[in-house]
Amino acid sequence: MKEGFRQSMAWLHTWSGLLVGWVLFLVFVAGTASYFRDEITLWMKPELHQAQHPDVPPEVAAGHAVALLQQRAADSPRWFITMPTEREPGVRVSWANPPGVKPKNGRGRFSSAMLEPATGAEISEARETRGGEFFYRLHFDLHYMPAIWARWIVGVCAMFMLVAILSGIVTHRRIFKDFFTFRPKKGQRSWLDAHNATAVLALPFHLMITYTGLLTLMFMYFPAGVQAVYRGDQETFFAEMFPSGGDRNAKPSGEAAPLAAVGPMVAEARAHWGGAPVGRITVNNPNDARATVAITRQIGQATPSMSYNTPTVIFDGPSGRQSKTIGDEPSGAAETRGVLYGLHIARFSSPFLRGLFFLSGIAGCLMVATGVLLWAVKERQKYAKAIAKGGRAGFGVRLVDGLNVAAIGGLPIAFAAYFWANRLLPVGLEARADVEIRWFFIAWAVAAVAGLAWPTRRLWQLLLTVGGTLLATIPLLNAATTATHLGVTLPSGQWAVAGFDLVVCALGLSLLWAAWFVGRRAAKKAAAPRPAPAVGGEMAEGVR
Amino acid sequence: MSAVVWAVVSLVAAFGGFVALSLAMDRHHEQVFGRGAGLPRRRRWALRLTGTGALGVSLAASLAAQGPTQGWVLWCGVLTVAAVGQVLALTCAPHG
Repeated sequence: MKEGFRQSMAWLHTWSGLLVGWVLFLVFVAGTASYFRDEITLWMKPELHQAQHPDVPPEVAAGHAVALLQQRAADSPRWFITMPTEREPGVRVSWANPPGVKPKNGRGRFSSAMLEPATGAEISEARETRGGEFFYRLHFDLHYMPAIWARWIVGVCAMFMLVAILSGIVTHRRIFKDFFTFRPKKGQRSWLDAHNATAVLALPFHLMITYTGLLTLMFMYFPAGVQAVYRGDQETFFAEMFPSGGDRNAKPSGEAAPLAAVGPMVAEARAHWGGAPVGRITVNNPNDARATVAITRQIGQATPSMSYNTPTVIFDGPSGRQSKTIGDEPSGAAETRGVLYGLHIARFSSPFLRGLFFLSGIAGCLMVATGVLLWAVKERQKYAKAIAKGGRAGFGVRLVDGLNVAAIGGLPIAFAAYFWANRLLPVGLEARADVEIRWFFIAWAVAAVAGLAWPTRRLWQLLLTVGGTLLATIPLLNAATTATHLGVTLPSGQWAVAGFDLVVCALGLSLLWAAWFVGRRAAKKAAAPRPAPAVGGEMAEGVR
Repeated sequence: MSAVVWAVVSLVAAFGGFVALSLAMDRHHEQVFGRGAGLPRRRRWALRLTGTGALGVSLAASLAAQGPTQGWVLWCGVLTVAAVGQVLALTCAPHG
């Protein structure tokens, strides 16, 4: 460390941010979208848009779910019932397939169905799609690779992110003096201002989300404590730490015994939590003498706690009597982890707060994007003379330029392709959900290859225009393919569907604005009196 | 009042607070009132006090909206959005 502390931190900030910047951009964009996971899924299942969801007593909804499970899966080893929430109004039931049974409507070991809570009628006509769940998984499991690799990759990137944030705070000398400063149309200056503003103004969010993000997978990244105490037996640790599903390994007795009515158990569990709603019901070994019913509290707006830990009440299946309660008074350590985990997922938040989380997430995306662009803008100035003589910038700059176009220009197109595929593919298509995801990656791959091959200002303009147009016309696509367009959803107050249309359209319009801005700058440069070299690798400068 | 109303009150108060705080800074005072419009000491302190007070009101409204634990989370989000709003306001319409 020959230089001072601040210079060292500046170096650390630059490289810790740049090296993982493009993965972080994907993680930030997918994570931001995941705040509206349920709403995205709803929008992608237009068959459910018009379903009426009156308030149904949870006892009734649970009763309908059990009736269906008795009919479909009486010999299954385990049932799961996810109760309706204000964001997902259907009752979801799933069950572990009995050994040797392979139904067509199942993903491997489990089958599932969606019910109307009031009538118990199956909502079967919804198209097959992963919906918002795809973005949620993409956020930490990436795709086309084993989840465990992806989680290590994302974890390493998040650690770099944390280092970049902390070293960035040290590097930034004028946090308060420049608090409100943004000087547009000044090249590198503007990029730095934009990077500072999106980073500083949403700093509480950035620090929280990066730290809690690492913490969500802490048992994987820091296994030493558990390994030492449990002597390598992680299974036992998890069973003791998170017993919400009841005893997973309980063996059936083999003696048949009818399951008691679930409605009274639901009522009893709610009363135990002071009226808080029920989240999930797990029935282990249904219709066996050793059946147990585990009822967990819902995580969501209706529950006062921010924690992701779920208190559970366990009932004896045949008698319906309460056998024990878990997690009513969690230890300090468990609750700390639960609240930090809960903050990351933000399931507790009201719609207003969710909107603020989403906007902060967008600030994060912009912070990463402006960061990697700023590097290219700065670095290119070292080659300014060479470029003016018609030469080329160095390999590093060209590589970063290419990756920038591929990630920042390409990702909006990938998202748009996913949504368009959802509406354009035939409803009955084989493996439809996977084909939608393939559209996402094919669209991204095309944009990325183009970006790496021709990282020019023209291409920026083209990709931003394509992405912006596809996203901005989403309300039109929705109107053309469903009966629930904005003219219907706005007057009737279907905010989940209308909100998706409006937000995606607004994002598309901002991309179009960016494309227009890039184009205007390009035109100005071309019209400038001194001969401006239209050389590849100099497009990123001064998009704003 | 309902939680949403308190949350909006919190957002408006935070935005107002940041307007006042930014106007207490020479650079932004010039941006809005033009060069040469001096910023007397007394006015600077009045703006700073008003701004800080408004942020306090914003915190109180956040706590009222979302309770004493989640209220702080709400306030962080409100501060972020309000501050970005003021940056954009100064950029897009500097001569208020």
